[in-house]
Amino acid sequence: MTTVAEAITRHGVAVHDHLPTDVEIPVLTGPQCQGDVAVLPVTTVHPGQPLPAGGVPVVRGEAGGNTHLLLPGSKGVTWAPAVDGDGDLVLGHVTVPAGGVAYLAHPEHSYSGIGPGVYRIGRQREWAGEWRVVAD
Amino acid sequence: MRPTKPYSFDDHPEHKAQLDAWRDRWIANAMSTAPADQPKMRAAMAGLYRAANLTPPDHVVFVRSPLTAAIAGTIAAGVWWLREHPSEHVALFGRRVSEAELVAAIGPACRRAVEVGLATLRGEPVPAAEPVATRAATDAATYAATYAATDAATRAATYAATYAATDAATRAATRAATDAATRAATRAATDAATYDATYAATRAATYAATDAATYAATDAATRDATRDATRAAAAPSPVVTFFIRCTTHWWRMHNGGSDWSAWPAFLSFFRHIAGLNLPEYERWRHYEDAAIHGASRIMHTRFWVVSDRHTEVHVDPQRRLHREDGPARAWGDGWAVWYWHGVRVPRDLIEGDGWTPARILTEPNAEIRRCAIERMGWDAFVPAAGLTEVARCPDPGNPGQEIALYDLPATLEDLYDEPARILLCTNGSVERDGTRRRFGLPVPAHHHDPIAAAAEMYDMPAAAYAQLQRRT
Repeated sequence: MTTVAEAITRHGVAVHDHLPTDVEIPVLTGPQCQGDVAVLPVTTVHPGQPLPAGGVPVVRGEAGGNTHLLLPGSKGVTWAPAVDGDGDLVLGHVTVPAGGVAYLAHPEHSYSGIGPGVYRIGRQREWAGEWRVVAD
Repeated sequence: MRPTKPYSFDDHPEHKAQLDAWRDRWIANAMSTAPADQPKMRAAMAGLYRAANLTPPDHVVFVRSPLTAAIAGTIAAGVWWLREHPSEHVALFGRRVSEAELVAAIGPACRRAVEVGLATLRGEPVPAAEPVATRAATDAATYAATYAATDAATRAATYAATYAATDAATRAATRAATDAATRAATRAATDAATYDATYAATRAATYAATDAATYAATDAATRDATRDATRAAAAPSPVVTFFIRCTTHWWRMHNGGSDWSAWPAFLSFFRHIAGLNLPEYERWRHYEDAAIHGASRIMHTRFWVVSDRHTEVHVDPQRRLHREDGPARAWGDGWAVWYWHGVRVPRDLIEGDGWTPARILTEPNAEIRRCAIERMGWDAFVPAAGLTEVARCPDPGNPGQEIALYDLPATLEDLYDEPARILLCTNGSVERDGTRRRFGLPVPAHHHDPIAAAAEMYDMPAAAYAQLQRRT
């Protein structure tokens, strides 16, 4: 198991200093949300490319901060960016092999652990008489 | 020499690589708070007149804001037109008007246009006019007789005259000789892809915050001043009214200068980076200079007025005008506008404590009402306004927290295009001070279940959302 402090050392994404760092990052295989980003397990296969060690900014904050960064916590994690037909909110699909882990990191939300499986990474939309994607 | 094959980025990847920097340079030009560079602007303005084979005017004026430029420029145009068309005076005013009367009407016209314009932009009631003092300058009996006798026909004639007075010829001539010619030449010499990359990107980043905002503010200020001046109860002297009516035609004499950075961004890229060397550049360079060294300008054969840029401008991440504690855009002479995420709102909605729930509920404009609620926060507004709870349940993955759905009262049913309910949520992560941020989100009114409403925001099945293991 990995603590937030260990993940910060390994991946370089710091979290706001009022958030605890001496706690283990829960590694989950069910649905979870990190702010306006949702991780939803799916049953379909989404072959992708190896997730780079530096991660993929799945949602980039306007000012450079507030980026949701998807990181490989082990070997074999792949990322398939969204393709036409995936739906407006889908950012891509991450595949975590047996025994592996991926992390979603954000300065205000700390780290979320994603266990083995295939997941749709999607963002939130807001409704104001019609649906539109949330601007972070 | 004009190239036979249109310029294309396919042939010049080294130019294409400089697009982003060029776009950003012009975005910075639009958003800059630097005042007009007066010596350079004088040269650019003289160049624009000469490019159109016009004599640069003797009367040149620098002001601090596009609103002052618009009001001063249009009233000045009205003065010059009445001077040059004495034969029109009888049709307009029932008699010849002396030079002394013309000059005497300028002050009251400017004062009233500014007074009403400022109140309009602040969202405050228009202060009462001072009809006695201003009407004393003219014969009140003649004015009343003229007004009663001519009615609608005179109004039409007045409209035509004020329209003519703010003659767009100077702007049209200089623009045709410089900008329009260069646009046509550039579009002819380049392919369509180059257009999107510079013009569209610069415009997207700056239009709402600069050009559209200036237009909306000036339009609102001059329209309300004109409406006020032509109301029988408030009408000052007919000459003053004539001048104030001229202000609504400001846009015919107006060029946005730095506010209109998108076209120069596109055109100048080919002049400076792609090296097209079009013959049109010899004239257009003055237009480019005028877009760099100053903001709005009003051009007339007799005079020009050039404005400084805004002294401050604040935008949200979507580059819409937005500021939560003061004017989103302000100019050096006191003109200012207040915006909430791109919506122009009254000053007291933004400054101080904002509006009370009672004040919010009596605001007739649904969009402004929505802004006022967002300013207060739905989490505060829902209990304060006594919204009715529809359902409440534990927030999945967010231990100890709940999500709740509320009905909008009948007075707020017009807030969104489709019927809505409000979902109150609590953040999964704590703030620095140990509290959790609460916020309300509108959702379609067909929802009865808070879980289903929250799930739809992520386009996720309600059953999956109910199984959420963690929310941070």
